Amino acid sequence: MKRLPYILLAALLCFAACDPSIIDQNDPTDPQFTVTGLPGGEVNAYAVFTLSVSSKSDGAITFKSSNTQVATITIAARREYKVTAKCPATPTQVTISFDQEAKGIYPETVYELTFYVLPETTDSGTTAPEEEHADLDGVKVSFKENTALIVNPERGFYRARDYFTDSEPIRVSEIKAQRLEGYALWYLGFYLTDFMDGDISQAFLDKIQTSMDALREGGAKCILRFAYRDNDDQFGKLDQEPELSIVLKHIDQLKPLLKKNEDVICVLQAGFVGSWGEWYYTTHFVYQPRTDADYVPRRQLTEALLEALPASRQIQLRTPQFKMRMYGLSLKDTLTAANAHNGSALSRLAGHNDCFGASEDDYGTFDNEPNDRKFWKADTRYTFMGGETCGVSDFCVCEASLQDMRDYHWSYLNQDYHHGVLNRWKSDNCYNQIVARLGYRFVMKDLFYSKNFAAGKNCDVTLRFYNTGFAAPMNPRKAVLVWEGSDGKSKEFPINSDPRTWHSGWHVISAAFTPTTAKGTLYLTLRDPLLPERPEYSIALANEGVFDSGTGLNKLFEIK
Amino acid sequence: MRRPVIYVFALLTLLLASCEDRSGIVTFWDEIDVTVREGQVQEAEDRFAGFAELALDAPVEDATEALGRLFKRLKDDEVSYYIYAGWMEYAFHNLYSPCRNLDLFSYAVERIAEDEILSKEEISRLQRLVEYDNLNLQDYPCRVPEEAETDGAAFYLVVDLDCRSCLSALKALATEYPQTEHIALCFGYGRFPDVPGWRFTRPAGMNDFFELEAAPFWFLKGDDGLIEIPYNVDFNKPVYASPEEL
Repeated sequence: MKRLPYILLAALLCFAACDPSIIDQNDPTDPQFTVTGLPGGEVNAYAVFTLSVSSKSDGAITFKSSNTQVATITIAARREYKVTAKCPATPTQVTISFDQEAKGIYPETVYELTFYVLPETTDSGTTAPEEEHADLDGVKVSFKENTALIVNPERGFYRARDYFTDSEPIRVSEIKAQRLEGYALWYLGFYLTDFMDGDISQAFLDKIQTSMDALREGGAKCILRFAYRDNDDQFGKLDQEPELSIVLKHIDQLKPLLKKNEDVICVLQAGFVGSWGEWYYTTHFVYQPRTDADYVPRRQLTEALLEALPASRQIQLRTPQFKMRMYGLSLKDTLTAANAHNGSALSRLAGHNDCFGASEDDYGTFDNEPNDRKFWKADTRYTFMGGETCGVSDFCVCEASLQDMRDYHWSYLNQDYHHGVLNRWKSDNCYNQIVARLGYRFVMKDLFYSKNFAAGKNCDVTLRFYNTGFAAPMNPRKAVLVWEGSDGKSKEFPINSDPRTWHSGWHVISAAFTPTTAKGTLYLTLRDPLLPERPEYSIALANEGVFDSGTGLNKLFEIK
Repeated sequence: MRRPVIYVFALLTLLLASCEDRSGIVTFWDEIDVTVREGQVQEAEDRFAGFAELALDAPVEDATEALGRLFKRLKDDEVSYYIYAGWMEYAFHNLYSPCRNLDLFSYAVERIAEDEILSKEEISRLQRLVEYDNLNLQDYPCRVPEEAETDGAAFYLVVDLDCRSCLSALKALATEYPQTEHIALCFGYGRFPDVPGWRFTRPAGMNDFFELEAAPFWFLKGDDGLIEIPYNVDFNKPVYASPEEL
């Protein structure tokens, strides 16, 4: 028994010798080198994160990435290292190694961290909440959200093109190519620079028409803008636009084009005034207007545009101030359900912000805080909001951007600018959410139809869905149920609900149809009333196995 | 006598064939359906990205041969041609791409110009990008607007004064290469920021020299007037491994 303590001590020493953690704790030469800050074993493409090193030793640390094509490491501050991931084609392993030199009592220490950098994906993840809703009476049909990229009309990221006198019109193949890549919206800016002294040439008008025809053939629509100068380098030296009378004459010339192409014009930006048509650096429309009289020329232009553009389409003004000042509006005058979409001037005047999240006031977009913001927040519930980013700032981090897009009901954004902001959203993992949620996104949760379903008998249907997008559709669109009987014949049943009222959130819509046969399939169609035969312009529900891109119909259920 | 000759020829042919495609990349596209279809875009893009990665380590002549074969097959399919052209720009030209490959991009743009499938504007834009790429290559004489020229070594940063990330880059890079003059090549409408350590210039015609949309990016000119480090978008510390000194 006397030997037992010695045996136990020997065993403990032996155990300690085999377990380095015990040795380390007691070993004064262990620098206890640790690294924190790795977000996980897998990091997203474009991710940026900081690794923090802790060590008792003051020895110099060298560091390196095993694959600098995929992730680089740079020093950010003392013992802080910024890792920047790029965008590999496949998940790629990277090892970051730190080597601290021997110094004093501390020996050289090598420390390695390994992780995978994931490729970019278009999957948005689910956007609809996992809320439980009590079942209704009737036969239930449930749906699953489709998290893949969904191309839908009049929303999303757009591609941008500017056209001058000698520019070639956009090609159908390019529009089709972009559509395949997920872009069905274009910004087309037409510069009338060579016509400031007279009429727009017929050749240029033909060019605009050719571009519109190409959009139509390619299955896309445009955000349209006209302007005279594409930069302000010559502001003060050259006129940025002609006098109002010439501009009005140009609008008269463009009027037939606007009418003829109503179907492929998603929205018109007011344009014409100032560099890029952004209503700022202007020669003839009062630079930095202050008084009501200063706004008169701009209002005259706006009225002419409202008259020239078909009443179904909206016109976007660059800041909230322009609508408020030109029409003498205050916060109490924002649009409501009662006067939205009624064809009036106010219901058709929308906004665009071409410096989204660039600074505290989005580079002058919101001049008159906080009223400007409140005005747009309310008004954009019923009018288009879109534009572009123009620089990285503290105001375009994911959380703030998503909140702003929700608040201002964003429908579209520029894919071509600003890459820094778009990359930040990618690295911070909200880009795909933004892609999915710009404009509307209808995620059907379930539906219930009458239990006493029979041919020739009225059948009630209740559709329950989320709009997880930031906005409702803004242009006219009809919701229709289509019963396709087993005899191959179809019959349509309009739903008494305007999709423009399907704002962000939860919706329960009641509808009815009369099946012509005992067996068949019920579809929901959200066609474009101006392009009813074109499935590319029908809205696809964001559900798996529902939308048929060949017909533009959303399959709700089938009775076999 | 005939047989040995045939064998020798056969052997030579085999050897030549294997030399032709040392990297295995030349025939990359031969058996692949290059038409991009709805629902298969991601798959096609991933395949192209895989090719771009492979091309990084392949001999230039093999990679260009493979790209040439791809172009030949795309020529009959304008829509896919447009899509691949976009991917080529992203993979081979973009400063942020891990597969940036100026030889391949230059070759691709040559082919695109020859084929005339893309619009003239698009072709001109791509040709312009090649011109930008060919300026300030490693070991070539430094070319900057006259106003920003300087004797000796210089650390240049192309800066959009209206872009916050550009201003962050100014701060982050101010202490790099301490023995070197720091020159900010600015454009845009903002005022020069108050960041010590930089000589600020706003030369006219910046667009003639640099792809402004790619800003911020930097490059380093050595004492001899030649480019030591070409265009780069890594900030904070332009080396991947160095003794800790902050």
